[in-house]
Amino acid sequence: MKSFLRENWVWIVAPIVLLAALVAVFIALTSGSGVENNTYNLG
Amino acid sequence: MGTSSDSKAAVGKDGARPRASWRARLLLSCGSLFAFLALGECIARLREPGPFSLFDRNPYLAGELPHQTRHRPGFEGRWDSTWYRINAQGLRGPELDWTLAGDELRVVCLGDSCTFGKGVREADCWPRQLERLLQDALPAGRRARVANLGINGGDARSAHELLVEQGLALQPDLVLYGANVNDFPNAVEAVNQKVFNEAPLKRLIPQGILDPMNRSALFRWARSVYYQSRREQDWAAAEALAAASGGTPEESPAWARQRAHVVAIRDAAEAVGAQAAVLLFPYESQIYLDAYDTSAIDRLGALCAELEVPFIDLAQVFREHFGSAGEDLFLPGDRYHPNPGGYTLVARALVRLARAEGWLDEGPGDER
Repeated sequence: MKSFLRENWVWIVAPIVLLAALVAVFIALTSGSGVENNTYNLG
Repeated sequence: MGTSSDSKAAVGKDGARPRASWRARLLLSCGSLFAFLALGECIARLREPGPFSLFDRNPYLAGELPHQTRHRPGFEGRWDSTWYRINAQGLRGPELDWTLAGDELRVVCLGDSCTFGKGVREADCWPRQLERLLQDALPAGRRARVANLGINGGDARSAHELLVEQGLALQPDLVLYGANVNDFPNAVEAVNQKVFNEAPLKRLIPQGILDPMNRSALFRWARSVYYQSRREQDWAAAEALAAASGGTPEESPAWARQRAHVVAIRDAAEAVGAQAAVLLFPYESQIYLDAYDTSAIDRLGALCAELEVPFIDLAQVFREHFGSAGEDLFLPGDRYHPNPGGYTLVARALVRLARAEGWLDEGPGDER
């Protein structure tokens, strides 16, 4: 199991890093000054 | 436990383990991603105030406005980082077992998410803290009763509607309206709209996609971390834009409507013998920067003076406390929702006002 993880850790970590990067870019591009429109939660 | 033949089978002819297939690697990636998201979501939900829950559930009634801005009576669950416990009257907080007798000091609190208490436990929102402080301040034999009629996304219009629909039936002695800078036209609100609308991608993404993302506690946490990291530059940008915007317009139809609703709240309170008061919640930038736009405060304060309604400038209250204690008064990564400590200042300021006005000695409703 240890050697399996050692050989394939990239496949475990890469999707998490990729998703985190995508979310960070998404948040940066969809954020204004950080003042959220607080009416969305009525929907 | 594997046998020696199993171990040999897992090793290739050259003594090295065979490489995992693409399908196995894909499964590994999907599995790790799922495990990360599931674990992260659970941890993010544990960080939010209130009991743990796996999902967000909508606490609002279905249908058209204003119906959909009313809570479902008896609802309990998580929505948008807040634990909702809604009583039979559709209000946040415990059931109202008020006797409506003369030994009660009855207070009705109106407002938006800053009165509802978005992002904090029900016990920490200012109406509930006010109830505890009033109880301590009242003479023996009198009970403090405070109802929270705050609604997320509310404004002066919804506050007036709720006062008429539900608040007046509670025979209040005090009607407290928690206004917000984003409720009416002013320089800071204009900057809010400008920056919000200029977010490059947000205009292109339908609300139907953004809303489900907002229902993830992990996404909410990630967004708050991003906002928190940018807060100082955001404050400076917002106040610079406000200063350059030419201030608050003197007259506008939107302000006329705001004014009419505040007048209506005052009149409705007076009609049942209650005393009205207005408090204005600030934005973060108005607390932490040396220079800040005061046009919204000046405008609402002038209206309250004209109406002879007591007015509390919470920016001043928060600034005085921050200047001496230096502690954060807003939720992390938020620009205007106070944290429990911020709401404590609100409740204390109201008790000071109540003492100064003599509302604790003899309730205004006692003359009814």
